[in-house]
Amino acid sequence: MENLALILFTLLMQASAGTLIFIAVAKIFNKEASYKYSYLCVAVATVAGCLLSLMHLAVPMSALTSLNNIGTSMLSTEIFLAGSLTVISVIAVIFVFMKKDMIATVLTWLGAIVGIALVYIMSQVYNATSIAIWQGSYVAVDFLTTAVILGAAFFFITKGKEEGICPSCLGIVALAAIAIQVAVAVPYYLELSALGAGASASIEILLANSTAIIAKWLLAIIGLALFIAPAKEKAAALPYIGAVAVICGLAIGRYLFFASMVVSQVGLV
Amino acid sequence: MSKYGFYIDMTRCVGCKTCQVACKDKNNLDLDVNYRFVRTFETGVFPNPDIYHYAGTCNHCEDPACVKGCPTGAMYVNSDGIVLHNDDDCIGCHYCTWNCPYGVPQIFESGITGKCDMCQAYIENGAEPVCVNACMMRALKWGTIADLEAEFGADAVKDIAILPDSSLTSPNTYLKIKAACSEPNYVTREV
Repeated sequence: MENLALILFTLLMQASAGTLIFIAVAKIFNKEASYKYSYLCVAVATVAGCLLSLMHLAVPMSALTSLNNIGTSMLSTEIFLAGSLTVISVIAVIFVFMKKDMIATVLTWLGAIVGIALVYIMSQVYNATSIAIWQGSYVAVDFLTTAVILGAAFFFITKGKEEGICPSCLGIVALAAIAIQVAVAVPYYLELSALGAGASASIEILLANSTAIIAKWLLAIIGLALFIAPAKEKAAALPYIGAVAVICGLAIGRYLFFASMVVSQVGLV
Repeated sequence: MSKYGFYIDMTRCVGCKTCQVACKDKNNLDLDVNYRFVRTFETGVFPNPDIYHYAGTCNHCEDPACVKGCPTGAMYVNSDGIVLHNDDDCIGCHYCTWNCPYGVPQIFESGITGKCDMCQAYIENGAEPVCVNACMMRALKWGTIADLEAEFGADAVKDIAILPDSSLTSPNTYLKIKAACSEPNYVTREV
């Protein structure tokens, strides 16, 4: 679990970006709803994500110098956007609890846009490396769809009894996102071996972790089925269990993303 | 200002690792940290087996991926073309180790990274990098790009089977190779 901090950082930031998108959309349908626990969850997740990203550094006290190359270094740009999303989320939750709805709504849309930009740039951080398994458009699709799926799950869990988007609609959006993920992942992994020795070494790691791959898809698919199924009074907890299962599935997927990393080097290209 | 590069005559290299040891000694490197590294590759099958050694280090590329990715500017290109690393500016994000396709940047026990500086302090005083000086086969050379081009350019290449495509970062290392170096089927051997 060498990259645990990065696994959690990417998941929390993507979940936050996705949740803000769903809050922004839900507020169109239900102007009375405050979704204060969703906002609080996003603020806590972004702050936790930023703190976790510091744990990945050898010199966390100098972390601000990572903003020196915004625009030229993908990593620098990612850190700037992650910081911006955190600041927006924290300010938004303050305004929500102060019941300044108008400002909170503007900040929600701003956060959603910054969040989408962050998730895309995050994918480019990995795309720009020499690591074969992180090349191609698959990473961007995986990250953006993960943000949507996690956002749907987090929003569903945290919105409480406030209406806006029905649970089945959230589930269907998440299902569509997972379908896109599968449609892009299958040809990507089939063509991976053509990318050379580094990619082949990554495939070997993935094959050795086939149990984790199966667990990821089982949790995601069963979780989504529970999420989408119409809630019955006697089994009201099932959609929540489904949402948690989806989150666990995606967390395993992110673990595999980092575990399959093989850095290019002389003799392994 | 003239830019510097390396030349490796792989037809001469015997894989003795003297360059690796000299570099490790000069830079007082941690265990498992090597700024210059020698790797051995085997090709072919009986009756035509072959073996060759690659004494690699930072290629001080024209378009270095480590510099491009570095968020703090700790990794930078000097006016003489040498890719340098400022330890004081490094935050230990290790992104350079993911970006360099040659696996050059190394991680120290402290968590920050480091790499070959072409013995900058030595060459500023007119001396050679220690790896070049230590090579008993005189397989390693160092000089300005213009001089290396003039002396070795005619039969030097930058692309061999074990290396990433040179168009990725435009390395400033010239190689004189054996026929086996172009063989796409190779096996790494520990010597």
